[in-house]
Order: sequence, then C-alpha cells, then structure tokens
Amino acid sequence: MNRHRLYMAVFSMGIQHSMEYRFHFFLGLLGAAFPILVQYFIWTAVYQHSGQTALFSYSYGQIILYTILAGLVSKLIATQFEHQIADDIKNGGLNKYLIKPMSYFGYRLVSFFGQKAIYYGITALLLIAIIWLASARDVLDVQAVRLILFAFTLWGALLLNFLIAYCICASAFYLQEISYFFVITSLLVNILSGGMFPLEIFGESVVKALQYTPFPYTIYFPVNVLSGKTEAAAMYQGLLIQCGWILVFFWLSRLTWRVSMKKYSAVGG
Amino acid sequence: MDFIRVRELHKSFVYYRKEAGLKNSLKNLFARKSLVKEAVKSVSFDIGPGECVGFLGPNGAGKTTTLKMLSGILYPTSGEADVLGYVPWERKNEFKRQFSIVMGQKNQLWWDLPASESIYLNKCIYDVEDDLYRRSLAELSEMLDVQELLNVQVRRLSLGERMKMELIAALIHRPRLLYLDEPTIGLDFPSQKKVREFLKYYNEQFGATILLTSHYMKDVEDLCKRTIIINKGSLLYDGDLHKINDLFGEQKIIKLRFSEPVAEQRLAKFGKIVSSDDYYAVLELPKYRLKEVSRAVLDSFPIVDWTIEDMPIEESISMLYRKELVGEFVG
Repeated sequence: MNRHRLYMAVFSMGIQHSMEYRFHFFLGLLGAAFPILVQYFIWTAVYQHSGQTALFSYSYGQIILYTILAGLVSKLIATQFEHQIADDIKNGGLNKYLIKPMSYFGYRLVSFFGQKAIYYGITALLLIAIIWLASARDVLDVQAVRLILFAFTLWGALLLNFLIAYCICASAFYLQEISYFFVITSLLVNILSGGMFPLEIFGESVVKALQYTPFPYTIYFPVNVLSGKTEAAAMYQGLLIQCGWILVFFWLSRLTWRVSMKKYSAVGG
Repeated sequence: MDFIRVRELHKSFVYYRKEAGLKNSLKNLFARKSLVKEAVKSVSFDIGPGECVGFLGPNGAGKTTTLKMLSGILYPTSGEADVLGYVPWERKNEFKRQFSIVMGQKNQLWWDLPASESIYLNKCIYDVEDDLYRRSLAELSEMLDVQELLNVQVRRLSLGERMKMELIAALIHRPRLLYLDEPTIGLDFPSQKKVREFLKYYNEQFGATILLTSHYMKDVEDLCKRTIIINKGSLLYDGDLHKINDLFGEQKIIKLRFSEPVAEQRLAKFGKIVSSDDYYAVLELPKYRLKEVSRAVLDSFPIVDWTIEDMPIEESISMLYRKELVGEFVG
C-alpha cells in the first residue's frame, strides 16, 4: 500500500486549503500581532510604575520577549479544526471517512500539518528576526543548542496540542451544542500553557502543580528553552516529559475515539 | 454466489420526544421520556453480482438506514449481512476498497478545492494505478461532460455538476458495488437523464452491482429490473417493478372524451371515477370488466376519443405503502 503518497496528497491539500482564502490567511497572521501589542503596552506600564527592574523573576526585556514568543507560538500551534470535526460528527460528515480505507486520525493530523506548513515557515522567519533583534539588545543569549532544542520542542508542541484538541473534540459525540465549549476549553488551555503570560504570575505553587500537566509543554516550555530561562539540565528532562505526554495523549485520543465511535455507529450520524 | 446476503436485519434507535412549549421543555430537562424507533425490522434479501436493484419506500421507511448498515457506517441491533464476503460493520479495508456510496444529499468532496483534487485524493486512498486513474478520469468526465469543470472549486459548481463530480470521485477506483442514495435528488431533467444513462453504462460496462434508492420512478424504471420496497422498516415487495400492478388484481384505466356534456352520475355504475368534468372522464375498473364496460360506454355516450391504459406504477406503489402488510407480497 502506498500510504506515503496518500499523506503527501493530504498534506498538499492542507496547504492549498490554507491559501484558498488569502484574505483570511493574512488576517490570521495579523491577528497574532494584536494580543502581543496589547500586552506590550500593559507590561510597559506595569514595569514603569512598579519601579523594580524584575517582576516574577523577569526583567522588562525578558517579559516582552516572552510575550512576543508566546504569542507567536500559541498562534502557530493553534488548532482550528474543532468546529469541522464537531460538524462532521453532528451532521454525518464522518461517514465519508468511515467508508474509505483510511484513518480519520491520520487524515486530520496530516491535513493539520499541511494547513500549518506555510504558517510554520513564516513564523520561522519572524523568529529569526526577533532572535536577532533580541540578541542585539542583549536580552537574549543565543546558543546553538538551545535553537536546535527549540525547533524540536516546537514540533512536539504542535503535535501535543493537536492531540489534546483531538481528545477534546471527542466530546462532540456526547454534547449537542459544542461551539462555546470549544471557545472556553481553548482559552483555558492557552492560559494554562502560558500563552497569555508567564506561568510565574500565578505563583510558585501553581507553576509546580502545572508541571504535572501537559499544558506547559505546548508554549511555556519551548519559549523558555529558547529564552534561556530553563536550565540546561531541565531542558533535556522537559523534552523527555513532552515526549511522554505526546505518547499519553496519543493513546488517550485513540481510546476516546474508539469508544465514541462505537456509540456513533450504534446510534447513527 | 450472492453478492449481498441480508438476513433478519434489524435496527432500532432510542430517541426523546418533547411536546411543544416552555413547560414541557422544563419537564424534559429533568425527566426525558425515551422512545424506541424500529427503523429497520427483520429485513432479508439477496442480491446477485451485476444486478441493479431499486430500493423504494416513502420518507423514513428505513432505506438510508439499511444502506448505512450495508456500507458499515452503522451497526445493526441484530441480524446478519454478508457483502462481498465481508461483514460490513467490521470495516475491513479490503471490503472498503470494493464499494462506494453516493448520497445525493451529502457532499463528499472538498468544498473549497477543485473537484480534481478530491478525485486525486481518492486515487491515493484507493491506490489506483496512474495509468488506470488517467484513463478512468478521462472516460468518466467525458461521459458526464464535465471535463471543463474539473478545475473549478466545488463550491462554485451547480448542484447537477457537483453530483456528476461526486459520481466520478466515487467511481475512480472502479468499485464492484455501488450504493446510491437518491443520486438525482434536486437535479433538473437533463441532468437526471445524464446521470441515469451514465449509471446504466457503468452497470453494463463493468458488471457493477448497484443498489439504488430514489423517489423518481423514472430512475428505477430505467435502471432496475428488480425492486425492493420497504415501509416502516419492513419489506413489502421484492420482485419485478412492472409486476407490482398484478398485486392489485390488474386494474385498468379508461379515459373518455365526449362531444357533449355527460353527467358524472351516469358514469358511476361502470367503475370508480378517478376524475371527470363535463367533457372528460377517467375510470378505474378491474381487467375482467374491460370488454363489457367498453362496449357499454361506447354505446351509451357521445364518445369522440378513448384510451385504455395500465394503472400508473406510482399509484400501485402508493397503494402498496398504504397496505403495510408485512411480507405479504414478497415474491
């Protein structure tokens, strides 16, 4: 069987799909800039009025760098297929995948990577510019090993976030009206992942507790690997934990979908 | 060997009923009354290779549910089915490679991309060889006359054009078995005709087995020698479409045109009056009275024109739907 060719086709269709609505595509890029700008002004005001050089162990330059990087990463790993999947489940669109000799999971995953491909390229260019600017201003100490690890953790983050979202999507098998549920869960996941601001803001105990959840490994961890906040030893440990979570969620997503699919086949779509 | 073998297939759904009004909504919030709907009740039939079978029944009769079970989308509540040597709901890939299902009301193509992309994706899904793919695509698109439209986004196509693309996408891997659920719904007459001719060709050329549901009698008359009729989940009839009339004692229709007005009361004794105005009347009567009535009518009325016809098949089928006699007419 030539699965390689199939997934190449799905990947390429994902790319084409992301470019089909050009205006939407550029608006998506622009959309990443607004929250970053808002946060930039807030942090600037906070640091000016506090009179301290470091808050929550972040200097002004570091917090701005964190905000920009976290904004970019959360935009990069954002999944937008929840509504499509919920729609497939509710209106029987899933049927067309069930009758074909292919896996829905594989299809969604590859199509997701395809839809992200161009965005990944653009983000990479932006990151190069930001890293260069930050190092020129002495906010960032660029190390080759951190750059490489960052690239790895970013792929891991993309995969982990996909798997988390895919698990959450299975709830569409049980809930009738799902749209607001997705808004809430994605916002919550983003905050817990450190997509809005560094997790230190919640206090030390919360940071500790969150270390035992998968969320920091999607945004907080990759960003800190790059910025140098994470110590060298912790980087490798974190990478391992990220891989662990990916495996757990891979298994969990297969399980939830297998159970839900049984129900779907029993009651109809 | 039979291609499709269905035995005592049964499917029931649980659903909730809510009376109108806010009060009942509140009541439902706490205690919902669950009801069971028997969508398909012990349906059995066999279909041989190369057969083209029409699957008829009023809305909600259980046609789509049956097709969904036979394609493996739904598990039955009980009963057995053997399709191409597989149990459909086990969803084996080898089984999936050999059939296709086209639903007139559901879109299987990528909405935002040209149909050619979806067709190419299907080529990859079903592992169709390049050479065969190119030949099939050229042949199918030429027959349906849509070569020019292959590279237009699906969302910009008309309903008829989209349906033709659906058919190409469904047939690109040359399935041996094709389920069609109302493939001509909402299409204009030329498109309906085109789709029918195309399906007939596909059935004859490749010896493909087709199971077709439709509400357009013409679809079934043109394509299928054999018809299976179900209503309320139960099998009512299985046999030749044109023999359905025989079930009702071979009723005949006489149409009369008069040169002078004829009162309706005067016609009543000759048969059931289907319709009449002063100069025109349609009578329904059993075949054995045909000779006697014809003679009498010709003698007693100022006839200018008259015809004798069979009962329209739609009429017989509607009568069959109303009968609801389980298994009575299964031949």
